[in-house]
Amino acid sequence: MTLSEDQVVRYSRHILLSALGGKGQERLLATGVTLTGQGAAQAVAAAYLAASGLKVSAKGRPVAPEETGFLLAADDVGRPLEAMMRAALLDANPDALGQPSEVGALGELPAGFSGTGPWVALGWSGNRGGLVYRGRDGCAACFERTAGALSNGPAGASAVLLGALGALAFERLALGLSQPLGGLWLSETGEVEPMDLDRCASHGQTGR
Amino acid sequence: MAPAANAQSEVNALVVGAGGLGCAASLALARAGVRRLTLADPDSVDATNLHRQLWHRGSDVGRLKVESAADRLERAFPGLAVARVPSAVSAGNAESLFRRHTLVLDATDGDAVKFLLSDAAVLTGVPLVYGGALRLGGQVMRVAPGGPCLRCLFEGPPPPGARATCAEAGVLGPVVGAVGALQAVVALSPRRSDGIERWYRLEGAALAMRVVDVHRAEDCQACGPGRKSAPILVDAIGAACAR
Amino acid sequence: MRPVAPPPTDATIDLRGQVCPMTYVRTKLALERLEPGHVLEVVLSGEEPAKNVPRSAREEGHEVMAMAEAAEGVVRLWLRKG
Repeated sequence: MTLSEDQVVRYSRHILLSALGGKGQERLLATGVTLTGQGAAQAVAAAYLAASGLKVSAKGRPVAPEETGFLLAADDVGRPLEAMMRAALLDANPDALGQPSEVGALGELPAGFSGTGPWVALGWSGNRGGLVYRGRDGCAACFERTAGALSNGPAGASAVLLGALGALAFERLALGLSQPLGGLWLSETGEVEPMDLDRCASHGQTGR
Repeated sequence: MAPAANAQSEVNALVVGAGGLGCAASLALARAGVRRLTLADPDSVDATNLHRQLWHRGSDVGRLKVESAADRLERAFPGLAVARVPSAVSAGNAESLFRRHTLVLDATDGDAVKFLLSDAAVLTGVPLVYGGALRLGGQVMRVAPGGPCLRCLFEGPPPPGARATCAEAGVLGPVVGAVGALQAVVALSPRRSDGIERWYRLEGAALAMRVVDVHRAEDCQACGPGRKSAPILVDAIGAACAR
Repeated sequence: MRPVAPPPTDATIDLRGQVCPMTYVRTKLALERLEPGHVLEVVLSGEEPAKNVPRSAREEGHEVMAMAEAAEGVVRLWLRKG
């Protein structure tokens, strides 16, 4: 795949990055993400991923009130998410529509995860945000145990921060810049700290 | 869950810059329940902005950023009133703009204007949250009465051309978003009683953050107790590369 | 700038009239299409690009082989891919 002239301009600030270049941007454009949960943080993550050129898809339910923001307006609440997202993306970034060569999943919990990855789970433990990520080489059981401690939560400023961090975690995985498995906590005052993973039986304390 | 509308309804925030930081910061303020917001930015939307400045869309290219951002903010949050200031914040208008708001977010991308905003925060006592993002990283700190200002950390902006190469204009979209949102989180967080502020440094490459306590520098020319006068606001010239 | 014998080139891009940082964006994409060791000739106009493109290329591990003024305000630059 070669970048079109419009894409060279639109993603010029990504292409300038040593970690990306044109090849990295092409990789983002070839990666898809399915939204598997619901919430403010997930909606923000989806908007950043779409702006970066990843193909974003969602289906099967109405838009929730806490999902308004960059892509969805107050008028969209209660209407079908898939159609509303499609209309917004057509205007925001048509590159975010279409068939990707690989598809990962991102969900604000409760959410399901399937396929090879990347997977990013966003959620909450009280007012503390949590993010768990897994690439194709990360253990799915460790991911699910760790993410299982999180649930739905607030939709304020922290949710926007958690969503942007979720998009960052997903793009790092798509670009091959990430460890295969990890997580972080986000405090109410904005501090990010590493999260201890809840290891599955076969990885014990030493697995990756 | 609905945003905590009551807690933030007294806030009247000025967001200086409707670019990558300002888009994320304004969304985060609105999500937190802030009802009054001013966006200040003289620029129009360019296609190279679209990967990180998410209130603006392809159909907005050429429009004033404050217009496209304010329109979409109000459509997403019908209870929010957004004032549009389509001009730069300068030595001439900074003081009056600060005094009309209860909180200011520095969502600009020039070195020189960041010191002007820090000085204006010291002069007026209106809290400011500084932010900056470059490549895969960024940083945030609050400047508020009794606490450190930007000049406690840096003597002043680097001379024009001292650091800007084209490659430095590169920045990852979600990194700018996280830094802008962090500015809003910090702005709405309660202050510590000892006046110490935190310097947040997001390292996107490692998906990690460093947080360092910052004290006011006793000999700071802008905010230190031994300074001769309140800071005088001066415009600086600079900016080598069009970001 | 002293006159130089132009090195043999594998590709050329003409970026006259383009400004920073798009000049380096296009230079970088052209370099990505080459094999390591191959030479790209870049034609630039204006002071900023003539200063910034070689600096950015060096920063990213490419070799600035030579630079020559081709005409009033126009510079030819040869980069070896690192």
